[in-house]
Amino acid sequence: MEKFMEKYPGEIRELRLGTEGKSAVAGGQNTLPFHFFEGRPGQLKLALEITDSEPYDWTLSLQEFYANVKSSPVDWARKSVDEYGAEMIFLNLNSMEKDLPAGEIAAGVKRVAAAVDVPLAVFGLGEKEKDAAVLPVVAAACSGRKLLLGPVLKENYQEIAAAALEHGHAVIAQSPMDINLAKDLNIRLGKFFPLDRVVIDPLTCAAGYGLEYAFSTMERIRLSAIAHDDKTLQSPIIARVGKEAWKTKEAMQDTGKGILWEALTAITLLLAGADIVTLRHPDSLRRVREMAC
Amino acid sequence: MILIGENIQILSKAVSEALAGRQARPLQELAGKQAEAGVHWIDLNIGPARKNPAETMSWPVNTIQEVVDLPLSLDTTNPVAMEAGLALCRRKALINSASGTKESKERMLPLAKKYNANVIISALNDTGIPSDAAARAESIMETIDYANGLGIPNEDIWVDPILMPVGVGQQDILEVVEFVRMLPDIAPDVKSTIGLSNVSNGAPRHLRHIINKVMMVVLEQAGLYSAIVDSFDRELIELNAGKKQDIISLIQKVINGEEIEIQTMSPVEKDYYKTARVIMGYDLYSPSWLEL
Repeated sequence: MEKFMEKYPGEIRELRLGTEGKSAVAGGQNTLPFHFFEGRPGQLKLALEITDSEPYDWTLSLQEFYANVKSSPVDWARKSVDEYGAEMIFLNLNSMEKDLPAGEIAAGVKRVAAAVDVPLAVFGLGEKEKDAAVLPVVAAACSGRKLLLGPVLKENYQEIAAAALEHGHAVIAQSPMDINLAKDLNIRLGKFFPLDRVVIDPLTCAAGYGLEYAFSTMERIRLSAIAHDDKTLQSPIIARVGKEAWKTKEAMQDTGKGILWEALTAITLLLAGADIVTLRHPDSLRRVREMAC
Repeated sequence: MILIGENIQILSKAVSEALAGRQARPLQELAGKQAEAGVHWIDLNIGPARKNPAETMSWPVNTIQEVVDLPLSLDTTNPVAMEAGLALCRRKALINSASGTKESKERMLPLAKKYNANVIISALNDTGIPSDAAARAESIMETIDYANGLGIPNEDIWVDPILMPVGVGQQDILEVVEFVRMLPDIAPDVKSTIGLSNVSNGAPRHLRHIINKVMMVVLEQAGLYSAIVDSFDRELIELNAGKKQDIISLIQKVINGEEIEIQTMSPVEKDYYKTARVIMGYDLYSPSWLEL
């Protein structure tokens, strides 16, 4: 059989996160998503999202669901891993909205990083100046912990990635749903930053709210990397599903629908090429794991 | 290749002010400089001309004809403005453009017959821009058929398959090239043209010229008859005149998929090489494609 198989020329770089002894890997595949029959599949990571201060902007049903832990990021992170089986914690720095001192925010991140054995992603507001001011402080405070920091944008990659480089972290490179711009940012990063520490975030939408565009962008990024051996795009892809799924009308009306919406969106994007998906409800994580892993 | 100068166009601030204020000097200078630069036609893009359409076209046509002798390509979607211009053109004009949409077929195409003008027929139709070479051919053949029925001969028809920006539809470029290649077989005597600069729309401004130039050579090799271009891109005009044979043969090698030794290339040659690889779809475009 081997003789008849055509091998793809490209493969996705393996991303290592977390400190020695509790490190984990994402990516690393030399074939397309779920093509187990013809190559080495990638390692998927299902992350649960938490916030570093009260998640006031989350839908009410989720705030109620996490009522016991939502004011303690450390407890929330532990519960997400121990009880809900998260393979990664995705920490949204919503405290940045209150303009807390960067040192205080970074200390909170450090406590969460110390509390769990799974890799930790730390995500700013997506505002270029605020993120460029806070994320480097987080990077320094958590030096050597191999966090996944983001987002880095065309406008602030130099500041944030330089700090990530110095302190041994990986970064999430975000571009607005455009394969050409995703490539552009990776080329710019690649001039001083190792591409095996980059995760591409091409942005996503929930099912029914433009998912087709997100799917097509991810699919083309992955095809370029694997089938056309485009070395600038051979990075794992992250799909931040939780936020998109839980702001839909359907999820806000009904928790059961929200779980289905989140799981369905995540599965769809895993098919398109996502390697890391972020979710907000453990039941959707369970469903995705049953289907995909 | 026949070049149509694009520089008198309503989106330029100087042009729109000159048109609105009826200032002849700036328009005449622009026309004169384009003629000096070596283009063969002058395009006159006045936009949709909603107010006083007839006068909006007749004034600049007369103004430009006072100073240059080149034929004019009249560029508006407004048939009233188009007709007013056609009535004044001293040389056989070019209607830029008609398309396969119902409205354009019914209102724009008859003007080509009435004024014995050339006419650009674009691939656009009522369902949008066709997606590949075959769909472009299908749309255009239908419109050519309609035009023939009105008594417009193939020699007066210039077809435009519509070139999309490389950052929007990179794979579409090869479909356009393929269409240009197949045109003589499917529509003998019909000419072809293209809005060249659109291919670099959205690319970094200082890098637009090299995309345009490589695209022109690729299309020229495929048999393109004419292109609407930036008259002030001197290197583009020189390339079209057959100068810089080394660059042309380098691009030809990329088109033919030949092995090329890149170590010995000069920086300029490398830029052309990388751009040709992007245009031919070997490498995925990004705004920093020259930096790889």
